[in-house]
Amino acid sequence: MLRMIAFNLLQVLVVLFLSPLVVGILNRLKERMAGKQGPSVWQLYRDIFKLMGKDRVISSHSTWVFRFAPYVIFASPILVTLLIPVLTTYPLFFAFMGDMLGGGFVLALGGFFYGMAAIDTANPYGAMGASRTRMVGFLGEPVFMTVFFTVCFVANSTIPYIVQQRWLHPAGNFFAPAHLLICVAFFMLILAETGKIPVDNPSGHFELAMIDESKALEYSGPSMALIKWGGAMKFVVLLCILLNVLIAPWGLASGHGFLDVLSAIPLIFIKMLAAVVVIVIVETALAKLRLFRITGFLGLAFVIAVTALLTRML
Amino acid sequence: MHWMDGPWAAEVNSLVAGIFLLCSFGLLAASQAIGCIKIYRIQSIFLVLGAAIMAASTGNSNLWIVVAIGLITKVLLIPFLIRRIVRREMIARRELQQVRSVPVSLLIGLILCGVGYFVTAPLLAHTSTFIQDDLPIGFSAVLIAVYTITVRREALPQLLSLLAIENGAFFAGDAIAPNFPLIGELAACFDVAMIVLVLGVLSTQIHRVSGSTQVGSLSELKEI
Amino acid sequence: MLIWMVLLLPIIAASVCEFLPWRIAGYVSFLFGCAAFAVASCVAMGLLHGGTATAIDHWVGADPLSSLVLMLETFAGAIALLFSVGMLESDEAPDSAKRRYFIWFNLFLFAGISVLLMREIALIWLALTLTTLFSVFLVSFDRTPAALEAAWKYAMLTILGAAIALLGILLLYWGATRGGAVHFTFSAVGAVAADAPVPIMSLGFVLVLIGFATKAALVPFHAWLPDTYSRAPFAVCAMLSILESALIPYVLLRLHFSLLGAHGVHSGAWLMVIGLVSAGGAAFLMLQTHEYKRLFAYSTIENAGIILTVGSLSAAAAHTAAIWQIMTHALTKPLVFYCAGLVFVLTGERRIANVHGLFSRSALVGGLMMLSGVAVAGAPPFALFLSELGILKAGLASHHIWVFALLGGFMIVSFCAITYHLFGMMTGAPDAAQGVPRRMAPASLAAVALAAVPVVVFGGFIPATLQQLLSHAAAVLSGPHP
Repeated sequence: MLRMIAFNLLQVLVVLFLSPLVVGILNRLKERMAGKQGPSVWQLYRDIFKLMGKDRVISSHSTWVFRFAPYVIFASPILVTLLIPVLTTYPLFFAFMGDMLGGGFVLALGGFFYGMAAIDTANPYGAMGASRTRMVGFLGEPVFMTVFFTVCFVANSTIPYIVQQRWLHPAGNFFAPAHLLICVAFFMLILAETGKIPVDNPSGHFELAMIDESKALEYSGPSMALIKWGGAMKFVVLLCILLNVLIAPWGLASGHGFLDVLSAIPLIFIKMLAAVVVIVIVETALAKLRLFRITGFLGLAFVIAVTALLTRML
Repeated sequence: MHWMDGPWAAEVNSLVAGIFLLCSFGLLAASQAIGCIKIYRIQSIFLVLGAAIMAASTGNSNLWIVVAIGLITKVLLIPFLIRRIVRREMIARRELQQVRSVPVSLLIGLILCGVGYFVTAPLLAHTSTFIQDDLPIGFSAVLIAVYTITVRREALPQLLSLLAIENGAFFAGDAIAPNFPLIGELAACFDVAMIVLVLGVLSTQIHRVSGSTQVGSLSELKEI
Repeated sequence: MLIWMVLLLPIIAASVCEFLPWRIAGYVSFLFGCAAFAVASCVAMGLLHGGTATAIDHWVGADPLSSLVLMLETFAGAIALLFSVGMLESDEAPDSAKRRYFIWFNLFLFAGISVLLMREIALIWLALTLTTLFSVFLVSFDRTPAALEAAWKYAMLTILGAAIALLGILLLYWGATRGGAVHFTFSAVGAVAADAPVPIMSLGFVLVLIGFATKAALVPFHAWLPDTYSRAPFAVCAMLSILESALIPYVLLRLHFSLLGAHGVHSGAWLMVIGLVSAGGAAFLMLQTHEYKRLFAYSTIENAGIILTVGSLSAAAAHTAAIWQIMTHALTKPLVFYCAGLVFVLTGERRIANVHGLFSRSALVGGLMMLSGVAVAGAPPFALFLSELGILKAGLASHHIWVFALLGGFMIVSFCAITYHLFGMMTGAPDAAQGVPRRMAPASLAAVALAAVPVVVFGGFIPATLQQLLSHAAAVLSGPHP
């Protein structure tokens, strides 16, 4: 029992301290692909450390939402981490506290506060970014729901630990159209949710074209650090869901010893690197879509997800 | 081909069916003429692939000939013919217009998919898994392609949707009628090639006379 | 042997045309058409006592019904070729285009003949699709934007219909093989219909019906019809009319009767509904149309609807009436289009409202137009009157009084529509702006004269041999296994 709690906390620590590295590698690789030097892979750690020591400026017109939001943004991925398989194939202590839908709600709560905080300062760019994020969000919602329903159909369960086992037993399941199509749809959803090209350009510095970044324009100091860290963790958590729950539980520890679990960390890290490489290729190969073409992109994801559901229903 | 026996064949077949259906949606949503040709080709490849899986798993020699015919005409000959006949300007990179916006079209396509499933559901009792996958998807692909013709304004996408209807019919047909007389199969492929020739030449004539291939905007003839 | 000859004659004609100047190509095609008609008559003569003539078992052959329709098709084809020669005299198209016109026309004829001589249903489908493909360039012959638009709509929608029908045919084949059929002919399907799964056969039949109804422009699916008829050459309109009101009803009725054994498919009810909707819809469309070619096009659809409605009933008298109607209509409708062609040559106008005083411009053309129009409207003493009378007589004897009451009403509406529009064209002062009337080409007039012969003759009496062929053709439908 205690060991399960310890593993669960270890999971949180892994996500907490590995996520800036994953994002750093992503940024570095992307710049490299574009033929540039790029920032160090540790850059995000330095940013966070630097911001933690800085002063924070808060507009006198803002309310408690603005001050409170960074903590929610930071905490929500951590809560989700408790629910999903990051290192082990067997359920840990908090596994049955909430299912995938619950995880989705917790993540959405972070997004909700982020949007509210952006509007709160009355900065015009903040409201614009918030409304655009909402647009992408509600377009992505049907995709998420359909993926979720399909997964439930296949696994007869909504608990991620149970779902992940379903793809390999029996082995033919891995090639089931529902499985592969869901993975594609969810991958497209991650691109949209975490503000990657072709939906949003995370490295853009032009406020009018921003979707995700413009919401944090008013933040400074430790609050900014929390938001950056929270964003990185959200990205890693979503990757974990895609890689460990939806694609396959390869590389996860199935033994109950400490060594087993610790040795799963590098394996998971390698898996994430592979996903990061795919994302970088996608981001480099595609151009950012016009805002009103995003509906087409997410519509396609939705169609893929529904096709998965349809082939499953037979 | 023992590895093709058992659940693998059925799973791979339904994956092929899923991608085949996605290609129908692709034809509905693609924004460039060149993309439409590519998607049609991919769809044809998956049509042939579906037939090949069935041939391998049931050992039906008739189906192998169908595979060969499909490969030669639909995957190789027709895209070649289209590029030869149709004028360069008609497939040049540019965005195509649609009567309805893409997301609305996609949603309607999904509804049509549902209709396809419900209509074919009573037919599926006591049938093989191949038929249970391929008949509803072939039928849905036909419906989506019919709808695509109505929302497209350009000659080339309309022509490709027409060919996609034929693809959908044969995707269902390969499953439900694997022993369909070969001469019928050959005839249909001949027919498809004829369609491409005739409509390709016609669209070129339209392009020459009116300077565009926006056949959807042709509205000179009306019952006033 | 004879069957192969009928099939080959148009192909030979098409290939010969390639090497001849267009006018000679036209006359040669006409001669080949006459030869095809003669051979078709020989085939029909051989089937006077029922039975079948077979070229390849289960694949190619003829029976009384198909040989009767074959005679109509070849007769109309030959005369349409002659009429085309006359019409092309006054056309400014280059000679190469005119030569190609005859090549396509012969191929179109070949496809129509194949529809009737193929036994295998898949091949019938192919032949029907080919009728579209071979006639696209006939419809677009004018090369004006409007003609190209019409050809595009025509090709797009009819091929769309054919593709839908293909799925239906595959389903029918599936159902038939599950019922135990080895071959895929109408009679083979009829033999196993009772054992075939009903849902499969129903869906297959409905898809085939939708597909071929689009091809025949039956009323909910008639979007391409007005444009195509408005722009196609007159001889092509005549042949399209035969296709819609003879060939496709022929295929649909045979399919319906081969599915009679499958209880629960209700093919008759489907045919009756679509037939009634077509007859009624077309009759009212005729009232509001503005072009005389479209007027007669809608009249074709009305007749196709009547034929399908009557043919779908289960009484033997109704079958005879339906086949008789196929025959008289297929003989009368080309004549009307030829007369309309003469009117167009005379006035250069397509719209009814722009044509006045035909009688005073040319008593010959006006008279021909009036008489042929009245003939197609179903007035005595012409052939169509007798067959429509036959239909109503069959109706009085049947249990479907309300169906025939509706049909009778639609016939009256269409009669009024045709006579109303024609009256406007005949009377009044001729438009001075329309210039000196052009001379009619002798070939056109000869074609009109030839086409008029059966319309007048069969209005008076039916030869005993033809009567015999008709009754055997009806027996093909009503008999248990044709």
